[in-house]
Amino acid sequence: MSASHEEILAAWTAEHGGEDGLLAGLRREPALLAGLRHELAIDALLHLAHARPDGDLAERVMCGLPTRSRRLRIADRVMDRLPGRQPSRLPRLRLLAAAALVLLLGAAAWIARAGTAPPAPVARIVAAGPDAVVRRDGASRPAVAGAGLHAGDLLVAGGQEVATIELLAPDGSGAGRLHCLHGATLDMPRPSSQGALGLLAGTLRAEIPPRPPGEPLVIATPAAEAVILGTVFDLRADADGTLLGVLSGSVRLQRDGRELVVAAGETAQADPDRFAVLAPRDLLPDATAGLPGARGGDWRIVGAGAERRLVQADAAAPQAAIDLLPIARGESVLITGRMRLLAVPGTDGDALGLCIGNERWLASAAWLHHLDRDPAQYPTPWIAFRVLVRRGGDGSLLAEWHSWRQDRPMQPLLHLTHRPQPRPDAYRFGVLATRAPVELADLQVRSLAP
Amino acid sequence: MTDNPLPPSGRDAGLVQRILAGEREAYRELVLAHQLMLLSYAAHHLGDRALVDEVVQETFITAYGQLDRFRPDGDFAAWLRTLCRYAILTALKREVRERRHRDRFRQEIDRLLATARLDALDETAPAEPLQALRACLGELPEPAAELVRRRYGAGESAVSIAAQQGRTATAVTTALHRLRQALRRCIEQRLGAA
Repeated sequence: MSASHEEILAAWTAEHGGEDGLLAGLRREPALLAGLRHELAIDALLHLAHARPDGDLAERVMCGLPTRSRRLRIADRVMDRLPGRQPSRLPRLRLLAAAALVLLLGAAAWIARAGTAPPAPVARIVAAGPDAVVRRDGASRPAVAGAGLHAGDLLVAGGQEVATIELLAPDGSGAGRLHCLHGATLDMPRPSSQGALGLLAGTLRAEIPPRPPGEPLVIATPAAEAVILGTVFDLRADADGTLLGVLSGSVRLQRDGRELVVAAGETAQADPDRFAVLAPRDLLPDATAGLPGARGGDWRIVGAGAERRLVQADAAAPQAAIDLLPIARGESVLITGRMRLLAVPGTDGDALGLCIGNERWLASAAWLHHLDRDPAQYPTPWIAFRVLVRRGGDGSLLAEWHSWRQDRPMQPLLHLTHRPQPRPDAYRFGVLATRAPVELADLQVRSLAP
Repeated sequence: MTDNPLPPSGRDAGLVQRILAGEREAYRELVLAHQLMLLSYAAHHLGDRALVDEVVQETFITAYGQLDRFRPDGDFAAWLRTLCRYAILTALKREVRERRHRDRFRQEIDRLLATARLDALDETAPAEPLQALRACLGELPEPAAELVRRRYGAGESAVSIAAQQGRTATAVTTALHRLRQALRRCIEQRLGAA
């Protein structure tokens, strides 16, 4: 950044009441932002207009052009051996030659591999849905329970079901489980990645037993690396960055030489704007106190203190709901708790859900389905849930839901991600029940901030 | 710096043919013929001199690698601008990714600017704002012209100019700010009229 560039920013900062005032103005007024952009462009043009009249750029471009002495590539070497080289078609021929070389090398590797024992798998598939696949050597094959995963394999979990794999130690013993959720793409470790698993996209839940000293498991995402010594956590990677939620133990999150230690109950975010542990701040310190926004049904608070629960016992009410809180733009909210059905629901469909929406539409919802008609099956087991809602400054909303049975905590029941288009509407988070006597406990609603 | 008027397309096509026939040095002529146009185009979008330079270099190097795809009857300058647009887009995305090392205020400013620039990339940018700027500079009254020469020609800082003129640095910075705004209006008028 040039000195005049700095001066321009300093002038704008002074003119708009300091850094905070300038940032607020630029965010609020597109015309102001365009004004700053244009002034910086004029500044660059002024520098250009006063630059030295020489062929400096041309020299640098010529130096940067590929030659045989610089950037000597495989294709160049191949081309050097070809008779009757035609400069006019050089780039295309180089491409063809490179492709041919890749094919030759691939064939040689295949022949070499055919004569040796196959390498030991680094993981084994425990369970996978019908649409989960393993990509190996450019081909896709169904992910089948019991099949081994080798270095360089890509596991792509199906859209609906969880794919679970068991990591294998060099001696073949189990080294922890990974539940790959909803389209997660997992890159099995290659020698070049120094043993790191790659989560290229999506979410996984990891259950990793304590590791030998000095041998942490590393899971690399495009935005950061998670270093695991023995813990249970959720890790998500997408175009916006990486999100790590630790359920037990602790995980070190690293990026560009910086490190965060994320403890149980904490969530950390790594994206271009932020590399920090998000500090939860209670939005509803007592989420059920006073039942704000309750309508329909018979909502009651039962018990006290840690035993406090929220019960809706009116199975006759077609729809009973509670609006719990609004979700502001730019805010990240984490909602956790557990829920269950108390008796046979009066509906064949959805019975209890958590929802994000408003008066006009439902933006995102997770439902507890339980269609067992045998009264002996009630109350149902507790279903734990963890919902992360992130609203962008433009009104967009990312809602990510996880739920799992508490008697089988590591077998997720549901994973949903909703990303509706940006809308100006206000969103609220609430609970919705249809003809179902239901119970909620341990409801916590927290705002996440760095 | 001398102006390099856009060469006729026939000349560009001839140069391209010579390069494809193996005369690598002919590419220097093409770069010299189009460098100001491309620098000007990139500066209009980027507003950061170092980044402009880098993007234009990358564009020329990319163009060399794809020279056999250029149609002999095509407009070489327009083809370069298309390649440059992609280079700008890549640079802006890279800038967004790399800003993590800067302080929070600068990070946020860069993020907002990168977003605004990405949006503006959809607009059709004029190919020659530099020529318009030069014409506008020629119309400046002498005190303003001297200020521009000292700041951009001699590279003096606002503090240094202020000390020599017996003014405050803020006054010089403000004067330059107003000058740039006036120049922007002048350039827009000229480009609009053209």
